Amino acid sequence: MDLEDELNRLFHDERLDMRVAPDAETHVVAGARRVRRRRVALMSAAGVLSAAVLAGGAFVLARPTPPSNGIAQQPTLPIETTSSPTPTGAPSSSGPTESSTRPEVQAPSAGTSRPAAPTAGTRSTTPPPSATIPSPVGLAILGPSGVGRMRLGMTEEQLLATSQVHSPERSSAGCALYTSKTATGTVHLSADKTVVAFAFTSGVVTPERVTIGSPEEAVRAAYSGMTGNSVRAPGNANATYEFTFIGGKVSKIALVAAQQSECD
Amino acid sequence: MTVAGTLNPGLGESYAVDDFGEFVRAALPGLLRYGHALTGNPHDAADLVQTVLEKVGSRWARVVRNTGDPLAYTRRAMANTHISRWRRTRKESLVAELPDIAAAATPDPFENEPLWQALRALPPRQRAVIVLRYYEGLSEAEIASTLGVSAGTVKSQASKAMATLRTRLSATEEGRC
Repeated sequence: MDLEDELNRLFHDERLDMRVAPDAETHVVAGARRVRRRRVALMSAAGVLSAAVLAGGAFVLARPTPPSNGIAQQPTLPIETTSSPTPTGAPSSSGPTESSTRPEVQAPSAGTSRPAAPTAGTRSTTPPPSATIPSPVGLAILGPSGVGRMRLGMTEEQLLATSQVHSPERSSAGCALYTSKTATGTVHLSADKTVVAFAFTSGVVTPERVTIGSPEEAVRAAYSGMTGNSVRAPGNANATYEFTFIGGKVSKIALVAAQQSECD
Repeated sequence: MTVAGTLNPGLGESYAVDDFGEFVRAALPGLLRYGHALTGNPHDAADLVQTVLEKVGSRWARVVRNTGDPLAYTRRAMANTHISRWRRTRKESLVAELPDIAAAATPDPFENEPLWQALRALPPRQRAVIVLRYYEGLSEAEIASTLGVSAGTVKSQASKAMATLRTRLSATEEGRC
């Protein structure tokens, strides 16, 4: 018997597949948040602490009952073992091929694919929302033109002058990326060093009261003109909100400028 | 594609893949399978995958930015976490207590496979070397960099592991006859 052949056979066996529980992803994402909060709580920097409070606020808002302290319960990834010995009809689900699983150390080269430039509506049909809608406690408002003192179209200097970002995270691809101090998210600059996008995974709410954790139906109700998962930001013809949904709920909100120059 | 995929290239690759939830959904089946091969049973696999993904997700932006390939990073982290976790618990688990998760243990689908049993009996680092070689298809040099050891260590661990497997398998076969 050739041991190498046997090993190859064993490692390609369908019985290695494990069925993913439907809510596994939610558990993992919640767990990551918990790990992050725990780590953040251990740091004493004031700015970091306030970010943790903001994240906590979003978490509470997203759920009807606030979690106790996040450290106690540790839900384990629910799994159902596929013990079907003869998976006749079952598709050999996503057994990774060797080529796709081989770790590649090099980063994928950025900027090779060029999607068509977004054709943003140029004329505003709905009036801008009345500016002052009280925000839920602890959440920053991600308005049609920006968040906090940060605005789309700002230069890098102006952005830094707001003191609402940490030092630059990355500029290797020609475009700088800053993490926001205001909430959990990032500020993206274009090649000509102007702010072209904000993306948040917690701590923000739109003027239409959509926040992380909002149900998808509520989002589509709040924004009537959604195409796909994005919509022109009411009150700013040159920006769109882009929503990411996980399990039917908002997991990320991005505000993206229509005009962007490419990096490199 | 994801929402992020429709964004402008100006935002860079980190933006295009920075949604951790999307990543988890896409990667979970493959990671669980890989974890199953690494740990030798479904429960430890789920535990390992969850532990590593939570850590990765808690610093997602950084992982995406610094590694450029979060999936490869996660798989490397799984191999290393599995080895180091075993190292740690071997010292501590003089009192062998089963984790809660094992209480609802389902029968292992490979219970009657001698090779699987022999693999499971290997020390974790040797097992990891075998998995990286025959499951991931990595070269010795790639395995060395993944596990942070020298190529010589990989070579010796692999040959030890293969020798052990051969011995155990032939013993099993003789035992049957």
